[in-house]
Amino acid sequence: MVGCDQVGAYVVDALTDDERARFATHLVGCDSCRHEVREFSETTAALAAMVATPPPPALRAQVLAQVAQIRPLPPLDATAESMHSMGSLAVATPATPVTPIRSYESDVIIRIPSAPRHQSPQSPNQLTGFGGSDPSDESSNVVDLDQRRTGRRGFLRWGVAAAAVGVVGLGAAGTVSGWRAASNRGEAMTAQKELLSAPDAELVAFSSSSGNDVKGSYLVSRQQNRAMFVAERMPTLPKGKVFQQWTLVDASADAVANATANVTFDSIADAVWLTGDIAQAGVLAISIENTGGAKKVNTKTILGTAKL
Amino acid sequence: MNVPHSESPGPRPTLPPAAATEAELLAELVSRSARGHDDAFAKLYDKTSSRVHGMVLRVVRSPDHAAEVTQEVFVEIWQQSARYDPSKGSVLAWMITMAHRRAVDRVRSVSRSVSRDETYASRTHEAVRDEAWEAVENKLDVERVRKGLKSLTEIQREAINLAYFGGYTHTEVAKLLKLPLGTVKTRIRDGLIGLRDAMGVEA
Repeated sequence: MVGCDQVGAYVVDALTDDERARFATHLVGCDSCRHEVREFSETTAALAAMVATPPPPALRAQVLAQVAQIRPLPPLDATAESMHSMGSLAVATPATPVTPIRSYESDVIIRIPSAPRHQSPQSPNQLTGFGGSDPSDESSNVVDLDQRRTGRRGFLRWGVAAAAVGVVGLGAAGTVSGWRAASNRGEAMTAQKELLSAPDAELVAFSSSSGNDVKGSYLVSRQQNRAMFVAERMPTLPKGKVFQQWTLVDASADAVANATANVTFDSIADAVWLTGDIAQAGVLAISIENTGGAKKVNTKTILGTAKL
Repeated sequence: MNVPHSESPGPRPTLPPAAATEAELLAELVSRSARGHDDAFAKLYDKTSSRVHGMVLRVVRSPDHAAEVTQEVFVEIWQQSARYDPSKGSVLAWMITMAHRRAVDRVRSVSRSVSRDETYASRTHEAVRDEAWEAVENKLDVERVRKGLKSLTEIQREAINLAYFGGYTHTEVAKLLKLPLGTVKTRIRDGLIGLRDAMGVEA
């Protein structure tokens, strides 16, 4: 059959662009060629294993920084797929414009740029390819705080946010930190999404004024009466101890004495939700207490605070 | 006292215990990358970058070009991750297919100003053959496979070497080897069959 003899040349990319396109069309209708292409592709992949050479170490950070700024393309629909890649394993397309991902997955990935490239309200968001879309686009499962451009005073305080949030887990410059919601906790995801879409959502730095090595951020919405804590750096917990959240009306000694106990936690791998009424709080604090938590806190056990 | 313990969103999802083989692991990493998990993509990079880069380097020869093309390939892998179809082949085959295509495109665009015939003729046959195949042979310690490779005829090896690692079109290969085009096509295909059998590859 015409064209079958080109299968070898096709697999080793020895056809011209025209020939390649014509052969791809041939593949749509030729089972045996498709089968051979598959087998030969696995063969050449095995060849690659034999000539493996590590790339320059610096390449890793560059690649990760670049992909952090773009989204995977959505899956092809059935028609497009059959036209595109029948028989061939992939189509090397030239760089296509990126689009926001539509929700075909239940994960919520929240990205906070560690160092915003531009802080002016007018600058278009180049970082994520979301273009001019609505920041609270409900159909997207990727919510980017960089989109929440502020025209309002104090909203999202980027200077503070940039310093406070930093990069959790990833060391390379330009990569983003991530708060990751567990994929199957629908409620947590909804709450998180809602918090992020709150018009009054604020990112507040958590730090210590008494020299403790702590760093973190709260994401707070008074309207929704919700707050979430993300640790960047916390001391190692001694045995039998836990961290505990507190809400205070302000930073006075009196307020400390009357602080309201909130959740305890021992892991800083994930975001920590506060419970109850936080709408009236003026200060959030974290202390180290015995397992089980305490009813009252004192300044000695407080690790750090965040002023709302 | 009973202070409520934090209802954290929960631990990071872990890979299913069934991801036993590397092939399954890579497929899982691609799948998670497709959902935007850059930690999974970083793992994918760590597991495959040497193979991708090594193959690209064999084709483009220049380390600078190899690094650039490798970066482009991984960005493309990320972009296309939702379109990888496991029913069409392994992740590695998918990645190497993309990588090879880009490497060849780079070679051809770089050498467009220089006649590729001249470039080829300026090196001896030996040098071109040995660089790639030596590396291949050095990695093999299975006698059966070595025998299988040796069973490829001179022309089969030469044709595949020029086409796959050299990035030449089959027309150019025919000219360089002074053979009819039809013969070259057949030799490439037969050579691939030989390689496939030698490596025990099944699709």
